[in-house]
Amino acid sequence: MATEAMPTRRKQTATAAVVVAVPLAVFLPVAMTDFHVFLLSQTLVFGIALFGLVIVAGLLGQPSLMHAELMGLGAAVTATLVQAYGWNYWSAAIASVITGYAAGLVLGLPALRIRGLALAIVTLAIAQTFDQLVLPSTLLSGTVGSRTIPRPTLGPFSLSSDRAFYQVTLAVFLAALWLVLSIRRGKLGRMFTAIRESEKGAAASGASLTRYKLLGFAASAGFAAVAGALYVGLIGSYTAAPYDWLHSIVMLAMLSIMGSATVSGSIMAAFTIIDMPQILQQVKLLDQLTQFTSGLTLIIQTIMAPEGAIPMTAKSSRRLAARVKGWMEAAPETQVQSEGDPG
Amino acid sequence: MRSDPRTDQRRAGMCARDGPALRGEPTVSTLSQLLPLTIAGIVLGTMYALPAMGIVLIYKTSRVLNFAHGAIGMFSTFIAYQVGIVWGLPIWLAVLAAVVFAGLLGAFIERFTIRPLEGRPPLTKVVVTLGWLLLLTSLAGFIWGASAYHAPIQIVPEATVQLPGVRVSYLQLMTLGLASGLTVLLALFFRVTRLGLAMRAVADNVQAARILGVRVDLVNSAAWALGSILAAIAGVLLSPMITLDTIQLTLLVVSAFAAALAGGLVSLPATFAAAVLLGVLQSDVVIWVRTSGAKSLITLGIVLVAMLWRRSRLAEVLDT
Repeated sequence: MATEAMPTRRKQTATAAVVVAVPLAVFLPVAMTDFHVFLLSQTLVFGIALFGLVIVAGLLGQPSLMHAELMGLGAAVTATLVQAYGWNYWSAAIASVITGYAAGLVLGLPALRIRGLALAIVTLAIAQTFDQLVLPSTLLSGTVGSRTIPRPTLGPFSLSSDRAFYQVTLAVFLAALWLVLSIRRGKLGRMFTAIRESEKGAAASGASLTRYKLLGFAASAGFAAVAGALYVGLIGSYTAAPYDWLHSIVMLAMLSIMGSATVSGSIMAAFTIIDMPQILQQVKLLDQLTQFTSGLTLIIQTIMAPEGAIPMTAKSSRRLAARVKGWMEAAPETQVQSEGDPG
Repeated sequence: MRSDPRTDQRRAGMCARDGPALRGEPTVSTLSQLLPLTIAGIVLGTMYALPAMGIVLIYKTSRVLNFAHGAIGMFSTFIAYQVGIVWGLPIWLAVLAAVVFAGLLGAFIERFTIRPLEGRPPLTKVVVTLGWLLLLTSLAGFIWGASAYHAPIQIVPEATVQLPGVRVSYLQLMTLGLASGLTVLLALFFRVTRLGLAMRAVADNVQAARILGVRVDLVNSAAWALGSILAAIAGVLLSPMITLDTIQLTLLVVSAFAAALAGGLVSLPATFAAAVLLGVLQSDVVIWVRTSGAKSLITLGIVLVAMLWRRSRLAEVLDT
């Protein structure tokens, strides 16, 4: 419905983007070193996790500080099933997504009674419990610490090379991208946004808060679990460390910086989290550098441009375009005056 | 393998740990350990109470839930570490440095990153405090090393004294005395001093206070400074009882939130009582459950119970 309502111009842009971007992403590894391909896969995996955060924090407006833990749950379940029970990687990954979805349903329950800031505290307390009780649990992984997980095969293809696994990650990423975009454009997304804007209003117009809030949390946790399962496959081992509460805060911070309701923002956030420390050649300080930059940017950004970088850039480029148009139409001597009028 | 939570902690590296694993925790805990564990829990609880009251103070005056509260306490504690341990200056000077730093930092955060957000939704202000949490934690990691060993700040000698039926350390006695003393002083501050009265006025009704000539901005800065100082004192006092690193003290904020919520974010006495209860429960639980993570489950339980029990009191926070 919404797709049909989309202006033709926008539709054309979207089609052009797909035609250009997808083949580019498929053939990009040809021009890259193995390490960079690995980084790119990591970025895509975090992008998938952040899609989940777009749903719960951006569209539904619930400040969730446990998103990294939900990703960790997916990773832990996949690792456990593969290591301790000898499952095939793909069935383990599917099981972990189902587990993640179910966990999202349960962990979304507090959101039915508790709203806003208070929910941020509850999710932080849940995150802490996960960090200490669930993710490092010996019950879950059989051993404390890491054990290697061999790269899976897909039918006749071996995915042991970083390049081969990248293609799988890319395929899952594109599927997740399509899914999150259609959720956002569809009825579900409109319901989420309505609840974010006014719970009372949404309830008054007949939307079931219980249903849509739980759905939002479950979908979000589902995306996180997909990312966790892929991450374990990519890295080849499981430890609890990458999924702790500080990473949850970094994820939410980066997404807010970019614009929490934007899908493109989540991709930019993933790039920033994974690649910025690498670009700055500070691999040793990776975690702290990310935290430092995101913390500083978040403070400045919130004060200067609360809507997020992507909406801000879109707005200012529109403004710039309007101004340039104004200049071109205006006579040369009125240039100075038109500058004061941003339109 | 699970006998020593501190080894697990090191193994987990950056992974978060909650409710500080108490130093000198007995390896085998039975019911006979109940009394010493309870005393350790009361001491721990008073250490939760100080930052929790700071959170309540900041919330009541400026309506901001400060997620960076633990991080402020942590960073100030490391200032004391820098002065007292690294530079080897007298301990009283180290504590003074931490307190002064915390006050300045709190006032700075309010003046330059919270005040410009006046009129914005509460969630926006919380996002800024999350930014400060990340900023301070990572900065401390840069300067002092995130997982390196840091010598604790010892204010009193490491010795114990035998009381009837139980042996307690000087540190515990001093901590308990100082925390109770500070709480009483805080209560007096609100009753007796002009600034305390102004804070209560702002907490009750900002508009009316402004009309009556209270300098609301100044009061807010003062509340942030005072709240941060409470967190710094708790951090310094806690440092010999826990592993001093950049994460544990930052996580103090979760336990402090639990106590503050149980106090409905308004009542200081209820906050204090809830903090002590939380400390005792966290400390005693090792008798029955060996997993170190059980403490975080208790914190989560208290948070949830407090939210549901104090629903009407917390309506303002819950509805934003």
